[in-house]
Amino acid sequence: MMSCGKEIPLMVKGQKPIYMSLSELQNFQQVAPQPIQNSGKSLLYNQYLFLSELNKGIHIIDISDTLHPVKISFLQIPGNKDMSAQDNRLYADNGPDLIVLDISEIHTVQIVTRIKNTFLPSEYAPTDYSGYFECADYSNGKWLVGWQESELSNPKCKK
Amino acid sequence: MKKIILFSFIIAIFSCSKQSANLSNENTKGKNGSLTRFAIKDNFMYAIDLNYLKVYDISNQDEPILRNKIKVDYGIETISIYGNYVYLGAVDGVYIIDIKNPSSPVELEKIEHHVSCDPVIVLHNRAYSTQRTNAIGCGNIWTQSVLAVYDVVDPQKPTLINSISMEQPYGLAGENNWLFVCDEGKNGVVIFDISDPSNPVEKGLIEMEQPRDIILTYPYMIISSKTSFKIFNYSNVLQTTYVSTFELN
Repeated sequence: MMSCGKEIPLMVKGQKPIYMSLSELQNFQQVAPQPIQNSGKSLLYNQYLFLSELNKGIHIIDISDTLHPVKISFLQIPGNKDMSAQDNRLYADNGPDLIVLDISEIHTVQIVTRIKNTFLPSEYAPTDYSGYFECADYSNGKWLVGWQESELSNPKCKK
Repeated sequence: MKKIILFSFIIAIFSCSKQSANLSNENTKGKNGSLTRFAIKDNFMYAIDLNYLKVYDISNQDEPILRNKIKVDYGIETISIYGNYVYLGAVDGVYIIDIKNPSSPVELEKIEHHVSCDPVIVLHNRAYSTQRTNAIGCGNIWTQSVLAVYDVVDPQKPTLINSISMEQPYGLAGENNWLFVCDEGKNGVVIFDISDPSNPVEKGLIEMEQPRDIILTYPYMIISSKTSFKIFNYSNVLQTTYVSTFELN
């Protein structure tokens, strides 16, 4: 997937990682509904549909009236990719941490526990993309939370 | 104009009759789509973490404890639990893991026929897995996208028994004699009759742009795409009817 070709261009358009510090990652908030831009995972718990917004968090939508689904809020969970739920608890990855959220009161979701540093970095390349990108770097207390198009100088990674 | 009036009239009747079938039943278990790397069975949560399957004990739901981890492979995108087995859709095949002892998973078998990074679900002792050729970075070894069917009656000896040509399949879901497969190439969800679980027979298409995954909550089906989701009523599968669309943009 990655290559170390002989002819790496000096300047080229490509994808560059967006990073957050580990302390910024812990900034959990329940905020007003956000646009659905890059949803991947879905989870139904009672009448609530949870839709993950890759690396950003989780949308909550009330579908009890199937004709008129109602947006509730957005759980801002940087670095989130997956979730599951049981007994009024939502389990979600938050960068390297696993967080447990109490969802019994859907309008006031609270963090109950944070298991620190239990997950490894898994995103090393932009998905559904081919071309040059700046290699991902998870050292020095930072975590990759997305990609943006950028002018890259001498990029070492390509797929 | 007449048509429109008639149409709204039907909708009105439809919405009234649906009042009693609202989604309000209390359930203590969440239902994931097929694209998930977290799955819960009883008091354990199984999570894919890079190239490991990790087991968290959640008997005390507010204090998950990491009980075990076993090395699997890189690029695992989906986890599915059926009976005492965990099925993992990996870039190099389907892993089957025994969880009879929930905190000590044992890797049984890897079906290495194929390369994909797409989901797998299990129903009637068959594992159904979609395999997409255009998944960049997932190893493009398949020459065509398919729905692959494995016999897993004996999880120690899984065998590929069928493969059905698809365009760009993603998530899937199944119930009783029906299997629903998202196919972006066909702009819809393909309905298969699986009365004979080894031989899915294509029966129809539920139209939707860029479908990614499905959750079934009878009689409703929630189909998600990258930017929206739609709800359908599948109480009569071959006449699945559109209920609503949700977009938040």
